[in-house]
Amino acid sequence: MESQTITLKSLFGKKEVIFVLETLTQVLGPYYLKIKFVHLLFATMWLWSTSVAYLNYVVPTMKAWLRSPNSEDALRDRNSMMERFDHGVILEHIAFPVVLLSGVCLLLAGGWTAQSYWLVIKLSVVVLVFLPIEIIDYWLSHFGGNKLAFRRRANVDALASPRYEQLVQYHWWFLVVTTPIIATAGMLVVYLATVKPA
Amino acid sequence: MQMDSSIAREFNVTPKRLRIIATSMALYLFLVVWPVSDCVRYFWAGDPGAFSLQRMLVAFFVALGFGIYAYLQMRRLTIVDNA
Repeated sequence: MESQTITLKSLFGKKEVIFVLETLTQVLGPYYLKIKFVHLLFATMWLWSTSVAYLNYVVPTMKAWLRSPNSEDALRDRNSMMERFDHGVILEHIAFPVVLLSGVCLLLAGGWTAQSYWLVIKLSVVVLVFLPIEIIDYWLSHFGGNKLAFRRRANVDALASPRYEQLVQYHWWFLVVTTPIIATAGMLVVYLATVKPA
Repeated sequence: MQMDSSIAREFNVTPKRLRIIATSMALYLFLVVWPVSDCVRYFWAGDPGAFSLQRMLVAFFVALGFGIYAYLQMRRLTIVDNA
């Protein structure tokens, strides 16, 4: 038991971590621009892939429902659109982990540190703003909050289920609150990543 | 299946609630995001400008501007006239 503990400690010791990081830096270094290409490609996919659907379908449909909250037609349109939107964000949610992973690779390959103020601001926004948002978004779109999955699992009609109504309204609150955040912080991180101001 | 008319379907939103959300987001920016980023700069980069008055003012006005923008944007999305 004791020897096992020592082995685990030595695996995660400071020296070993530094060795692994230095090795990764050396291995990834020559591929910096290729990794940057992947990072930017997936960052733009993450940022823009739902914008057309959101602005032209989600918002108008939601506003029609807000005007007539008890209209059966408006509710059916809203529910159908939200179920499709849950499916539509798959591209965004494939892109996000790739952005994170390629971001870590860029950090290692480029040897960036906290000396770069732009990087500190960017990482603060990613970790403190985007990460929590995306965790909630994953849940709402693909896990417990997925409207189609809930309807099938509970075997209920969307218009007859209070829980379904609650899930749709949760999702709409989420979209309302995150719209100004994405519109500003999304632009900010792309600006910081490309311009890299001192 | 019949629509259940007993379910509350109105979106429970008021300008006051939106103001509270916008203010909370602005405070999060000013009291969490900015101090954390300056903490990192102070401890890992030895930045003498961390937590300076100038940066605090920039963070304050950015948070204020964001709060106002967030309120207007959320209001545009949720409060609709029936015309």
